[in-house]
Amino acid sequence: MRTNRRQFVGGALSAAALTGLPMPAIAQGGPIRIGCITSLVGGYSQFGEAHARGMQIAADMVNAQGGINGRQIEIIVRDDGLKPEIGVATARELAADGVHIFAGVLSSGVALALGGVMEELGSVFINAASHGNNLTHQDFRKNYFRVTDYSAMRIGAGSQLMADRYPDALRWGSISPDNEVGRSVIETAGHWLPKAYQSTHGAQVELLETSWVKFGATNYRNEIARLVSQGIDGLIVGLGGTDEVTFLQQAGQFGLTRQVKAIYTSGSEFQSAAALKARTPENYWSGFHWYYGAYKDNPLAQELIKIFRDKGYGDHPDGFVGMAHSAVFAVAAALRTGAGETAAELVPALEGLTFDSVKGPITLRAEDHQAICDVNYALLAGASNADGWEAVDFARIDGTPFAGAPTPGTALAFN
Amino acid sequence: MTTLYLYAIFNGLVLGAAIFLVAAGLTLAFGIMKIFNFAHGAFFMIGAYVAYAVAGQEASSLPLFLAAAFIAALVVGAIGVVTDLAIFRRLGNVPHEYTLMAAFGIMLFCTGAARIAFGQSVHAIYPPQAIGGFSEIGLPVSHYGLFIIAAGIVTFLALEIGLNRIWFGKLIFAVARDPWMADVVGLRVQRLKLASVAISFALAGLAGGILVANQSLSLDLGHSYLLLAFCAVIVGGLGSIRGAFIASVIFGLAESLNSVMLPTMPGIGSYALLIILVLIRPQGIYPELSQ
Repeated sequence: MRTNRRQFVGGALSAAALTGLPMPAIAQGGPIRIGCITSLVGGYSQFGEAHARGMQIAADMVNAQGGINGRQIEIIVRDDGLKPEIGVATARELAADGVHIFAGVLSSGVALALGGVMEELGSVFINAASHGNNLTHQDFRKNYFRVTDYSAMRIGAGSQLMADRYPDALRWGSISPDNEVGRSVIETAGHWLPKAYQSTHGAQVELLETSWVKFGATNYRNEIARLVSQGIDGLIVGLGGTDEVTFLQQAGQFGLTRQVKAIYTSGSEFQSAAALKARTPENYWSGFHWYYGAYKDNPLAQELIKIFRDKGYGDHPDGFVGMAHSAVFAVAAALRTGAGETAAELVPALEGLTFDSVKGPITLRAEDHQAICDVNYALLAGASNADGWEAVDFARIDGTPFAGAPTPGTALAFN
Repeated sequence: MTTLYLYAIFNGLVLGAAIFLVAAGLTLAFGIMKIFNFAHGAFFMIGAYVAYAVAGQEASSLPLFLAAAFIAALVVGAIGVVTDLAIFRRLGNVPHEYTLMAAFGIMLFCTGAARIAFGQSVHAIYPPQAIGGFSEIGLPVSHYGLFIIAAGIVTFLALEIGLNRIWFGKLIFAVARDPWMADVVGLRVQRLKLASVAISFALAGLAGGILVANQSLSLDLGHSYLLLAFCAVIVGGLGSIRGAFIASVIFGLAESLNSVMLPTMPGIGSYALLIILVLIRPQGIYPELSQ
């Protein structure tokens, strides 16, 4: 039997497909696919939904301007159930389908697990929320990048903010979950709070023993009684999400929030004020990945806010929207340098990259892949408006001095 | 330090009563249907959302707060009847593993349905003013905490007396222990089972309505008490109301005293206690209905 040219070409293409040989001409014609892995079920799902929305808005903005070298960005959203094993299984499934760029993730545990398998999957992971100090220090992974600030920066900047605004608050208590992020928060506050008061006012701060609690607790009354008995002026809250709401709800009932002069948190954004409404504590500073009210001078931020509101998502885009948006913009900026989608090309392109974002220019530090950017706080209070709360003040702090030296592979050391 | 211990004991009793309110329906469901209803936490969460929908963020009066809790009980009880007729009864003659999987599926369905019906925002709910304050008697005693303890005791007594002393309760016992013999002597087994299922689900709704102001309200609420409630049901003796009550108090005290005695290891006390109690008394404190 003779083989004609048509049969030969068909056979060759089939063989190439079966043997998994790369076919760059075909692959590069399709969209650039980014896997948004985040939590879409349960109490943290509103943050996960914000991730998906932020990434989709960013993709739409890039696509409206012609995409990347003519190629559109496609966002594929998957749930990680806030569990490392589900996050990893989801990444493997998407990688098997040809997706090699991942972004999102709320939990530091999921981020740690995903960072660990990225090299094996030939993929890159852009983390848009997790806060653990370990992720860009002792647990650093080559294919992991973080586009937002982290505990060291957030709590360091928050400590300086407290020293600036509340010079008389010299006795501080703290409550934090017994997990990686919780320990990062307390470790950072233990370093920066005394330093900030010393350098700003020459005053000595007393940091009392932390009340450690389990993640997902429903009863903080013993801890509240201990904090009340400590006679504290200020309170560091390392809890997040529903735990922070429960704690502030119970602390308000027992008068703790009226006793203290200031409260600052690692960051539940608007969530606690939106839940507590008129009972939002006074002098409650909530940490933000991005507080939109602080960026009225940023055209990109204004465009994101407009699109968010036009789509009917609400009036207040939170930092999860902003940082997920930034994750896609980081990828777009790296690809515009001519890098391909593979980890081998994308990782060097992202290292040291400075890209425009809703927070202004963000630099991904070459050594440890940590974003060097602003840190945002907002002073939230109850209000008699439709929301039941309002932001009465905000702080936009340069995070650079609090980022610490890059020490990939080694735990963050405070000097 | 003594004050902190006394306060921890008071909080332990509050937590114990809260655990029992959730565990009561769970252990009753096991006693009658012979399944571990994994969806119980989801029905508890739905009860809390229903109470919030009725009474708002802060109920204007104690009667409204209580009415909201009873409406939650009715609504969740009705959902329980539908669930039993549509799912659990159909699985009555297949191995228990299938029923467990069905319960897990119902839990996922309920969480998804609650998300669609009530949204995914987190809410802070407050007790009405009548029970919203606290008394300072050397330690701050929350009136709402006392209310939860009272609700737990009243629920326990109602179930204990209702199941052991009242005619209807004895019929339920008869059906739970030997449905074949109950049928032979002329009892309407399916109808009695349905009424029991409605009561066990209504208890989940009632617990949601009573405990809605005890912590934040979110789609995760179902998980918050469920683990400790399962522990109480196992240690108390599967199907035993009395055992669940005692075990709930034990776990509440363990959880609370843990935060004072071992503050750097939160939550470890309950699990250590579970292991010890199961090793010492694997059949549970009062293995009544499971016999």
